[in-house]
Amino acid sequence: MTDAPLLFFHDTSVLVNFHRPGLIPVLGPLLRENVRWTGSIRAECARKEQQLELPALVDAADRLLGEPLLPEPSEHLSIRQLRRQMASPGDHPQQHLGEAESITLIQKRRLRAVFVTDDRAAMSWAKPIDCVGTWRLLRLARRRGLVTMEEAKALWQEFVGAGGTPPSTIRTLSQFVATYE
Amino acid sequence: MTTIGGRVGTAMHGAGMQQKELAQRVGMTPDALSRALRGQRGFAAVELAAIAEVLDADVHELITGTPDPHRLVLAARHSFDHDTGARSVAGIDEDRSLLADVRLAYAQITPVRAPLDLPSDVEGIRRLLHPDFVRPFVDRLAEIEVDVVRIDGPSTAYSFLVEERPVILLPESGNWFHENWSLAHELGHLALGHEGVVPGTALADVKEREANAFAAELLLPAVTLQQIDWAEIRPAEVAELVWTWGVSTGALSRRLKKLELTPSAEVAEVLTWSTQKLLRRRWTGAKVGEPITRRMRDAGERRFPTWLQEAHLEQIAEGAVGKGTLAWMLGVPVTSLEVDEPAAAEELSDDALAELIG
Repeated sequence: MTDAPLLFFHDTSVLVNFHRPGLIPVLGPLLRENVRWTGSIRAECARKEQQLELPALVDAADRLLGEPLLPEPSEHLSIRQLRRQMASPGDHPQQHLGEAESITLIQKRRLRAVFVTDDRAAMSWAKPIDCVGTWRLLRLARRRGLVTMEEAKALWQEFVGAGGTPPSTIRTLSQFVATYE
Repeated sequence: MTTIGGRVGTAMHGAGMQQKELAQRVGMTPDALSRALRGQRGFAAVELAAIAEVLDADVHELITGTPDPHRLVLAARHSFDHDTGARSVAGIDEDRSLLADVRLAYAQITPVRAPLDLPSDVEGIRRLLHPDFVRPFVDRLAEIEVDVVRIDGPSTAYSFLVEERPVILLPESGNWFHENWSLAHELGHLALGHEGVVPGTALADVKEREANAFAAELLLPAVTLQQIDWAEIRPAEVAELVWTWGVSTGALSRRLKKLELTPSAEVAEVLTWSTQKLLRRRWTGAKVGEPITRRMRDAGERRFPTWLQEAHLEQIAEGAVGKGTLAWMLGVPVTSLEVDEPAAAEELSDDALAELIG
């Protein structure tokens, strides 16, 4: 199992953040092309593409991630069970299914994987699976010269412009620039 | 029928829907749905959830071929038009999301607390509840392992079983006299083993009448009413009885009529008043403290079974469930709820991430 490649399973949030400034292709070389997604995440991306008016989100993610993994029949109940534990009253019936599907597939198939998500609650449910989010990936991409400062700033600006709240250490653009320079 | 695709196909045909329409409505390509139906492709979890919603099917049943053990088989308290005799539940569609929320609160706890066997007759239930049960009705029901949930929003009262445990759902109203009747009526459904008493189901009207007769005998026993001289009793004494029995003036009036007991003209007149009017004007107990307001407040408070809330606390501490449902049960913002819970998960550090990727 330790010789297996480390796979990076993508959640919708990080894909949306990288797509806004057109940076989804960067994730391929950054993560050694060992990138995956599941069918529910792809379906969520399709819904976000419409809801948030993000043209070509699914096309860009398809080019990066290829054919999504789909649950085996025996995995569906575990996904529903995890989703039920994650849910709160008032949640949409399909909410949390993408995260639950990704986590379940990683666990059930004993994959050596990192879950790429910005959802703090999902990170807790994913334990002991390692997780990483938008800002750490972006910082590594800067360090490795895969993203220019202008591109990184564009991601931050698009994120904030869409109503997102960055982590406290990069709450302002000047803080962001100082950290990512 | 052994595959998910096969069961989806059966549900689709049962709903009279074509593949192309179903694919379009759930965001799948016709080719993807076709292959999934033939077992040549799996379903994503969101696809199955969307299919279940569109086809009004049980997603657990689509997956396993057996009904969801957490599904709610409801009995809904029908409103009754005393002039026309018609029964209806106008708000059941709007209530479904609230019912799903209550179901979630139970489904997140496994197993739910064991129930007691309820007797099916009124006298047996009365013995279990002990004398003077009406004022602490909800607490007495808790003692016999019948859960009462009271929340803002549902259009009517419901009863159902969760893994055999009986639950009564009430709307917050402040009208204790309506609430008591609802409790007795829904207890009747549970004791009599009624399931699926919603409009359009077989024998719904018959079961509603049976539950109502159960409630009437539990709250206003015939033998008790027949021992009272209704031609001589004074309005202040009637007010005292209405308070003690915890029923409305309308309910008492209808019960007297049903039992062919004729009150004096003066009593008949006050029984046309609203319950609050009778109590405030004729009940001597209303002058001491604020018992009416207190009783209204009690019947208007959000309420969930204590055992269920404690079970959530334990599950939260173990990291087995989020705290959103407990916050909802308590009616507080999740962000303000401080409970024992596992430490928040941490992302990989920059160095750890770089090292993992190589």
